[in-house]
Amino acid sequence: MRRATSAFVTALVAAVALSAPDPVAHASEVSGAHEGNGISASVVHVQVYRSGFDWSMPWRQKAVQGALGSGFLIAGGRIVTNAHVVADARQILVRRPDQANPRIATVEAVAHDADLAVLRVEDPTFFEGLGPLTLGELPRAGSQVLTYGFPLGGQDVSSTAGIVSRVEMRSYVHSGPDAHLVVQTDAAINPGNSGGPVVQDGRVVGVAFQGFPGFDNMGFFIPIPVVRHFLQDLEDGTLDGFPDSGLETSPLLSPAYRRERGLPESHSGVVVNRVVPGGTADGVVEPGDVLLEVDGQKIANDGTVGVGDARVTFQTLFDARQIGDAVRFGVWRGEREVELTATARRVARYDGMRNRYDVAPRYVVHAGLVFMPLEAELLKMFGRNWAQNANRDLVWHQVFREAERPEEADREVIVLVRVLRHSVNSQMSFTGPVAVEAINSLPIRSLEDVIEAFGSCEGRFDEIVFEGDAGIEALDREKAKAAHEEILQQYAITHDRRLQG
Amino acid sequence: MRSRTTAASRADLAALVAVLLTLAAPPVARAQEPLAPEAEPVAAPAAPPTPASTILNANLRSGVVRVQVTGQEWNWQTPWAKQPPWTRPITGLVVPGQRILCASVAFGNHLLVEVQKLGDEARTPGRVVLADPEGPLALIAVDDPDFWDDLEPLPLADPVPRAGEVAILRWRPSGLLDSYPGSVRQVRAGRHGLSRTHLLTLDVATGADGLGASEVVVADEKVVGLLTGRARDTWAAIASPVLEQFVAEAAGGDWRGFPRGGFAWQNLTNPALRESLGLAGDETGVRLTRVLPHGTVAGALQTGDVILEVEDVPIDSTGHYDHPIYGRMLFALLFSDGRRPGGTLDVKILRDGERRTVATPLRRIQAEADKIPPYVYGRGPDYAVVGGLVFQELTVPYLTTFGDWQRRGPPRLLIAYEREAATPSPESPRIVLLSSVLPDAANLGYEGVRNLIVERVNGRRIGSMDDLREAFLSPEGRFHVVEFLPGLAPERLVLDVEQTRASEERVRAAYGVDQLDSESARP
Repeated sequence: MRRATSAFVTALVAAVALSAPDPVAHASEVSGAHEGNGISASVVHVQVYRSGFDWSMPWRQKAVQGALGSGFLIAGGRIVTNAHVVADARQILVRRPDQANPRIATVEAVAHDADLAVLRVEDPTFFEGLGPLTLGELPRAGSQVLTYGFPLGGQDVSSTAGIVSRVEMRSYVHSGPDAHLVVQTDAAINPGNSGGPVVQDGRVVGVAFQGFPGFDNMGFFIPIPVVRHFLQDLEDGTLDGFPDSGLETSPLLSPAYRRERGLPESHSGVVVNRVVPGGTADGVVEPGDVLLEVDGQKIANDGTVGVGDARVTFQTLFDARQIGDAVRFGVWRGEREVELTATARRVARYDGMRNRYDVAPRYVVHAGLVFMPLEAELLKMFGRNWAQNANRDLVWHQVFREAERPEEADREVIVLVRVLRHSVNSQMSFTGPVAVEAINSLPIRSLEDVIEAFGSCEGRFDEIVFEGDAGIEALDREKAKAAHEEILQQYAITHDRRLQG
Repeated sequence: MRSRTTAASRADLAALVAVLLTLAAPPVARAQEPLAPEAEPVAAPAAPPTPASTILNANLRSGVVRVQVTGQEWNWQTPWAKQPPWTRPITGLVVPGQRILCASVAFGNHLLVEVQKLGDEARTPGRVVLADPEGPLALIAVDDPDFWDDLEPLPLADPVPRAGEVAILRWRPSGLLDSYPGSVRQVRAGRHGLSRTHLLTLDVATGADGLGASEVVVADEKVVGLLTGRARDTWAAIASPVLEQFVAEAAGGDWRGFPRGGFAWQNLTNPALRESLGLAGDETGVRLTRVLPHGTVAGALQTGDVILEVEDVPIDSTGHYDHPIYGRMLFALLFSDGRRPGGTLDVKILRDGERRTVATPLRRIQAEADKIPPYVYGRGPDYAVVGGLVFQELTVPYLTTFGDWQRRGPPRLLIAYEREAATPSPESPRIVLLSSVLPDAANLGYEGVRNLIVERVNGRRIGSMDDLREAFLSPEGRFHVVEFLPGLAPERLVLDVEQTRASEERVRAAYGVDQLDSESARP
């Protein structure tokens, strides 16, 4: 269910950014630590100044913005916080609750797909007298937790108590399509709490990170299995990310479907609809297989496995693996059970479905024509309902192409995003962003192709072919080349291309 | 990154808006300046209403009647049932041959038509003798000869005025014939109701509201058009020459419909593009980007052709031509205005650098010839309920159940509409949907499935409801297997043949489905 899901989730993220709640302090906050100053002292205030890129004008950055969050000290003189606290950061200041002076911090690693980051502070005096917090385990539903952080409403560290409501897989809205384990709690988690620790029995059991505006007593934190994955991933100095199962499955709640697959009553599992090119299961699991177990964990007919006391989709099992680890599948194929082994892999193309941070947009400007690769950030210009409002060809490529044309799964789509008006191009018909099929008879599959196509033309005209009913367009080649620099100057564009994000 | 597996999780996400807990100061403003598509020039604000100056004379009163139509649409979500019925008063124009002419979409799923003239207390039964939704236009006969006493056809203007004052005649519920002042804003090529055909159209500005029910527009005691609906800040009327054509051909018993070009095209406003295509300095035209299989140019023209002239009339680079009377008009009008299917039209094109004139046979395109019919009249939805799964053709009436469907409909169905609506193929004349599920023991586990495009049933490709019916007759052993266009879960589902059969009575009783298959309901 990746395609539709990603469309809807991305839409959701746009909504979040547009409807950021008023930063109002929660009335039920209780100041002061319940578990002694040991915890509070290791919670830090994080102030960030950020300047992201402007995907509608990819050559420029946005105005600087301030943001506040929380973090906490772990072993090795490092501070854990949320990726969304430090996304696009240009300056990060951390402050201990018992000190007035903020120190400059740097990002050691950031995992936007898990909304986690690790910060470093160069100044060793910052850590004097501070003990790192230790990591605990996944808390049980119904148990009590304490959240620590710097929510709006005061300067001091604040803590609140709550109950673990449930454990589930849920979308991480910072990145968009990624889903990992989350824990829901009724402890107050408010703006400013982001990145703060959630504590049980003196140990950290999660990192506060997201909530629903308008829903009281409903906050979410990133549980320890996800945090540990991130930290273990980092141990070799490079961040590889989380594996993608590459499995599109349906529950097997239908007895008819189970019988049709020949699945004995004693077995349970989910049916594999499709195996995504490049995912962990690619080349190993086949469509029509019934997935019985992953790494020895049995999958129920509704697609869930037991995690602590909770039942969560089997996809959570892939979060327990690092890229390159072996993953064992048990499948029912034909008349028998088959054991399969695969290597955990990450699907790089899914980055194009994520919200992008800390990366500059790629683009090429030629004679005022702005070309960019199709990705989620680009589609946001159509608003939160882009899946319904954007050019339909672009939506098809973004959401449906992988499934309908798996052989083209990794194809890059180049979009003519904008025309910077100049007499050389202003007579062109341009009614909004449109996919480019070919330029000067060269099929366009990358920004490099755009450059090559315009560079290689021999004729008097550059001919551009669009997808769908948008037809074709042409530029007078010599005039276009002559106008290129002038257009860049007029529109204050210092570089006519950025090929690496 | 995780795949989410259930429709429920999507609904869940959509219902609840999550927010990051970073405290952003100032609040994040994510909305970038949108890349606005180039806007069409918007008409200037309407002129202030002019005072009433047209006084109705007796002549006009005897040419305008009230038509009351009762109808009922099908409910496309539960395609075996109908919507609540409606009754609508519209205005009718008396035309020669003892007929009443109306320009209204009401004549599609009508059940009862009654007419009333000024002074009548009772309504007289009428009969629709001809209706063409591509007007939309309808002719009504009244069999009671007494009804026609004192009624006189009104003269139809030809040409119609391009400007000036008009009176808009509308029948009030009180039995009063009202006249509102208005003025003609422009004459253009326009589409009306659900029609896809461009017809000669009058835009009328008026202070009156709630129009568009075939009100009669009069200037100088002649009828200049019948109002069909709103067009931005004005009201649109089908102009009299079109009415005249319809009435005359219908009177001869030989209405063949309005012909239509049947293609998509692009502007050639860019001189570089024109030159690169090989057009001479003073030559203009438009370039075809798609040719539909059933239209006038099908088989004669192809994508990439540049249309230079139609019947010796030059087409400009924005697809307009200079009408001898009305000035600049969209060239789609050249295919319908005064033309009828059966004739031919000379189209001069530029193809591969060569100019040639092609005689294209004028054709109408019936709504039912489209892959996704724009409207469905004279029949109900084509559906079948199998094991509680509701299958039906994808049609625009189905899409309209999503309300503002172009912005609210299921994204994959919107893509299908954009790409395939008018391009059926012999193997795939229609798109078949699993539109919803009526939960039953036979379909346990599939309760939330909806709006999926069916690709195969029991191994057979599905391009029509007939394909589907046939495929369900030959199950794969003990099971029916339904496969959908991949990309949305589930991509495949399985029914037990025995269970499916056993479900029929249960589904019928539990959901009030008298006919599980629309075919069995037909004579």
